[in-house]
Amino acid sequence: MIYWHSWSEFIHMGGYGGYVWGSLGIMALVMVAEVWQIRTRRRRLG
Amino acid sequence: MTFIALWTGALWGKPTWGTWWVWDARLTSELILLFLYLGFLSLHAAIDDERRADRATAVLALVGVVNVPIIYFSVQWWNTLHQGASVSLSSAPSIATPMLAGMLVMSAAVWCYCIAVVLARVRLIILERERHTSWVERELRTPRTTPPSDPTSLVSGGSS
Repeated sequence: MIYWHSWSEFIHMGGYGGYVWGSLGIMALVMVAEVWQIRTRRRRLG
Repeated sequence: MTFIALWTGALWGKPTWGTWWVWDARLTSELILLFLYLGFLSLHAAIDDERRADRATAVLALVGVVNVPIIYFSVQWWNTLHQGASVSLSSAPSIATPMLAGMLVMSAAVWCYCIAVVLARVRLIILERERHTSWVERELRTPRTTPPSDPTSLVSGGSS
Protein backbone atom coordinates (compact mmCIF):
# COMPACT_ATOMS: atom_id res chain seq x y z
CA MET A 1 0.00 0.00 0.00
CA ILE A 2 0.96 3.58 -0.55
CA TYR A 3 1.34 5.84 2.47
CA TRP A 4 2.89 9.20 3.23
CA HIS A 5 5.01 10.41 6.13
CA SER A 6 4.31 14.14 5.86
CA TRP A 7 2.14 16.71 4.16
CA SER A 8 4.89 17.78 1.79
CA GLU A 9 5.37 14.17 0.69
CA PHE A 10 1.64 13.93 0.10
CA ILE A 11 1.64 17.06 -2.06
CA HIS A 12 4.73 15.91 -3.93
CA MET A 13 3.09 12.57 -4.88
CA GLY A 14 6.40 10.88 -5.54
CA GLY A 15 7.29 13.34 -8.30
CA TYR A 16 3.91 13.28 -10.01
CA GLY A 17 2.40 16.10 -7.95
CA GLY A 18 1.86 18.42 -10.92
CA TYR A 19 0.07 15.72 -12.86
CA VAL A 20 -2.10 14.43 -10.02
CA TRP A 21 -3.16 17.79 -8.59
CA GLY A 22 -3.39 19.41 -12.01
CA SER A 23 -5.79 16.75 -13.26
CA LEU A 24 -7.82 16.90 -10.09
CA GLY A 25 -7.99 20.69 -10.26
CA ILE A 26 -9.01 20.96 -13.90
CA MET A 27 -11.65 18.26 -13.48
CA ALA A 28 -13.12 20.05 -10.46
CA LEU A 29 -13.03 23.37 -12.34
CA VAL A 30 -14.79 21.93 -15.39
CA MET A 31 -17.45 20.23 -13.29
CA VAL A 32 -18.24 23.37 -11.31
CA ALA A 33 -18.28 25.52 -14.47
CA GLU A 34 -20.56 23.14 -16.33
CA VAL A 35 -23.10 22.76 -13.55
CA TRP A 36 -23.11 26.53 -13.08
CA GLN A 37 -23.63 27.08 -16.81
CA ILE A 38 -26.56 24.66 -16.95
CA ARG A 39 -28.10 26.29 -13.89
CA THR A 40 -27.91 29.85 -15.24
CA ARG A 41 -29.33 28.70 -18.57
CA ARG A 42 -32.20 27.06 -16.75
CA ARG A 43 -32.84 30.19 -14.67
CA ARG A 44 -33.07 32.33 -17.79
CA LEU A 45 -36.09 30.30 -18.81
CA GLY A 46 -37.84 31.36 -15.63
CA MET B 1 -31.77 17.61 -30.08
CA THR B 2 -30.26 14.71 -28.24
CA PHE B 3 -27.31 14.85 -30.59
CA ILE B 4 -26.36 18.37 -29.56
CA ALA B 5 -26.83 17.58 -25.94
CA LEU B 6 -24.66 14.51 -26.28
CA TRP B 7 -21.96 16.31 -28.14
CA THR B 8 -21.78 19.43 -26.03
CA GLY B 9 -21.96 17.25 -22.97
CA ALA B 10 -19.11 15.13 -24.22
CA LEU B 11 -17.06 18.19 -25.02
CA TRP B 12 -17.62 19.68 -21.61
CA GLY B 13 -17.19 16.49 -19.73
CA LYS B 14 -14.04 15.61 -21.58
CA PRO B 15 -11.30 15.39 -18.99
CA THR B 16 -8.29 17.43 -19.86
CA TRP B 17 -5.74 15.97 -22.24
CA GLY B 18 -2.35 15.34 -20.68
CA THR B 19 0.06 18.14 -20.20
CA TRP B 20 2.67 18.35 -22.91
CA TRP B 21 2.32 17.36 -26.50
CA VAL B 22 3.78 14.59 -28.65
CA TRP B 23 2.77 13.72 -32.22
CA ASP B 24 1.76 10.27 -31.19
CA ALA B 25 -0.99 8.29 -32.94
CA ARG B 26 -3.33 8.17 -29.97
CA LEU B 27 -2.84 11.83 -29.12
CA THR B 28 -3.23 12.97 -32.70
CA SER B 29 -6.43 11.02 -33.29
CA GLU B 30 -7.73 12.36 -30.00
CA LEU B 31 -6.94 15.90 -31.14
CA ILE B 32 -8.87 15.22 -34.34
CA LEU B 33 -11.79 14.23 -32.11
CA LEU B 34 -11.55 17.56 -30.31
CA PHE B 35 -11.56 19.40 -33.65
CA LEU B 36 -14.59 17.37 -34.71
CA TYR B 37 -16.38 18.54 -31.57
CA LEU B 38 -15.41 22.16 -32.23
CA GLY B 39 -16.47 21.87 -35.87
CA PHE B 40 -19.76 20.34 -34.77
CA LEU B 41 -20.47 23.19 -32.37
CA SER B 42 -19.52 25.94 -34.81
CA LEU B 43 -21.51 24.36 -37.65
CA HIS B 44 -24.53 24.26 -35.39
CA ALA B 45 -24.01 27.87 -34.39
CA ALA B 46 -23.57 28.94 -38.03
CA ILE B 47 -27.03 27.81 -39.19
CA ASP B 48 -29.89 29.98 -38.00
CA ASP B 49 -32.72 27.53 -38.49
CA GLU B 50 -32.42 25.17 -35.54
CA ARG B 51 -33.95 22.17 -37.24
CA ARG B 52 -31.78 22.50 -40.33
CA ALA B 53 -28.75 22.93 -38.07
CA ASP B 54 -29.68 19.71 -36.28
CA ARG B 55 -29.85 17.79 -39.51
CA ALA B 56 -26.55 19.14 -40.86
CA THR B 57 -24.66 18.50 -37.63
CA ALA B 58 -26.17 15.02 -37.31
CA VAL B 59 -24.55 14.14 -40.63
CA LEU B 60 -21.25 15.51 -39.39
CA ALA B 61 -21.63 13.45 -36.23
CA LEU B 62 -22.16 10.28 -38.26
CA VAL B 63 -19.01 11.00 -40.26
CA GLY B 64 -17.13 11.76 -37.06
CA VAL B 65 -18.00 8.38 -35.55
CA VAL B 66 -15.45 6.87 -37.97
CA ASN B 67 -12.78 8.43 -35.77
CA VAL B 68 -13.78 6.51 -32.65
CA PRO B 69 -12.45 3.06 -33.68
CA ILE B 70 -9.39 4.81 -35.09
CA ILE B 71 -8.65 6.22 -31.64
CA TYR B 72 -9.27 2.88 -30.02
CA PHE B 73 -6.98 0.89 -32.29
CA SER B 74 -4.38 3.61 -32.80
CA VAL B 75 -2.06 2.17 -30.16
CA GLN B 76 -1.98 -1.18 -31.97
CA TRP B 77 -1.87 0.03 -35.56
CA TRP B 78 0.92 2.57 -35.34
CA ASN B 79 2.72 1.43 -32.23
CA THR B 80 4.13 4.84 -31.35
CA LEU B 81 4.90 6.30 -27.96
CA HIS B 82 1.58 5.65 -26.27
CA GLN B 83 1.52 2.29 -24.50
CA GLY B 84 -0.99 -0.43 -25.27
CA ALA B 85 -3.91 -1.18 -22.99
CA SER B 86 -2.78 -2.13 -19.48
CA VAL B 87 -6.14 -3.58 -18.51
CA SER B 88 -8.19 -6.01 -20.57
CA LEU B 89 -10.96 -8.49 -19.98
CA SER B 90 -9.03 -11.49 -21.24
CA SER B 91 -5.86 -11.32 -19.14
CA ALA B 92 -4.79 -10.39 -15.64
CA PRO B 93 -4.30 -6.63 -15.23
CA SER B 94 -0.69 -5.52 -15.38
CA ILE B 95 -1.04 -2.64 -12.93
CA ALA B 96 -1.01 -2.63 -9.13
CA THR B 97 -4.28 -3.48 -7.37
CA PRO B 98 -4.76 -0.12 -5.58
CA MET B 99 -4.26 1.67 -8.90
CA LEU B 100 -6.70 -0.66 -10.66
CA ALA B 101 -9.30 -0.12 -7.93
CA GLY B 102 -8.82 3.63 -8.10
CA MET B 103 -9.10 3.63 -11.86
CA LEU B 104 -12.31 1.60 -11.86
CA VAL B 105 -13.94 3.78 -9.20
CA MET B 106 -12.94 7.00 -10.96
CA SER B 107 -14.06 5.88 -14.41
CA ALA B 108 -17.40 4.79 -12.96
CA ALA B 109 -17.71 8.23 -11.36
CA VAL B 110 -16.89 10.06 -14.60
CA TRP B 111 -19.38 7.91 -16.50
CA CYS B 112 -22.10 8.72 -13.98
CA TYR B 113 -21.26 12.42 -14.14
CA CYS B 114 -21.31 12.48 -17.96
CA ILE B 115 -24.64 10.67 -18.14
CA ALA B 116 -26.16 13.01 -15.56
CA VAL B 117 -24.93 16.09 -17.40
CA VAL B 118 -26.16 14.84 -20.77
CA LEU B 119 -29.61 14.17 -19.31
CA ALA B 120 -29.70 17.60 -17.66
CA ARG B 121 -28.78 19.24 -20.96
CA VAL B 122 -31.40 17.30 -22.90
CA ARG B 123 -34.05 18.39 -20.40
CA LEU B 124 -32.92 21.99 -20.72
CA ILE B 125 -32.91 21.92 -24.53
CA ILE B 126 -36.38 20.36 -24.62
CA LEU B 127 -37.68 23.12 -22.35
CA GLU B 128 -36.00 25.81 -24.45
CA ARG B 129 -37.37 24.53 -27.73
CA GLU B 130 -40.88 23.89 -26.46
CA ARG B 131 -41.09 27.12 -24.46
CA HIS B 132 -44.07 28.37 -26.48
CA THR B 133 -46.18 25.31 -25.79
CA SER B 134 -48.69 25.20 -22.99
CA TRP B 135 -47.13 22.32 -21.08
CA VAL B 136 -43.85 24.19 -20.67
CA GLU B 137 -45.75 27.29 -19.58
CA ARG B 138 -47.38 25.18 -16.93
CA GLU B 139 -44.09 23.50 -16.01
CA LEU B 140 -42.22 26.77 -15.58
CA ARG B 141 -44.87 28.39 -13.45
CA THR B 142 -44.19 27.00 -10.01
CA PRO B 143 -47.12 26.83 -7.60
CA ARG B 144 -45.59 29.59 -5.50
CA THR B 145 -45.76 32.23 -8.22
CA THR B 146 -49.12 31.08 -9.53
CA PRO B 147 -52.23 32.14 -7.66
CA PRO B 148 -54.17 28.96 -6.92
CA SER B 149 -57.24 30.35 -8.64
CA ASP B 150 -56.70 28.09 -11.64
CA PRO B 151 -56.52 24.47 -10.43
CA THR B 152 -55.24 23.13 -13.76
CA SER B 153 -52.04 25.15 -13.43
CA LEU B 154 -51.09 23.11 -10.38
CA VAL B 155 -51.37 19.71 -11.98
CA SER B 156 -47.89 19.42 -13.41
CA GLY B 157 -46.35 22.51 -11.85
CA GLY B 158 -44.13 20.67 -9.40
CA SER B 159 -40.60 21.69 -8.75
CA SER B 160 -38.18 20.55 -11.43
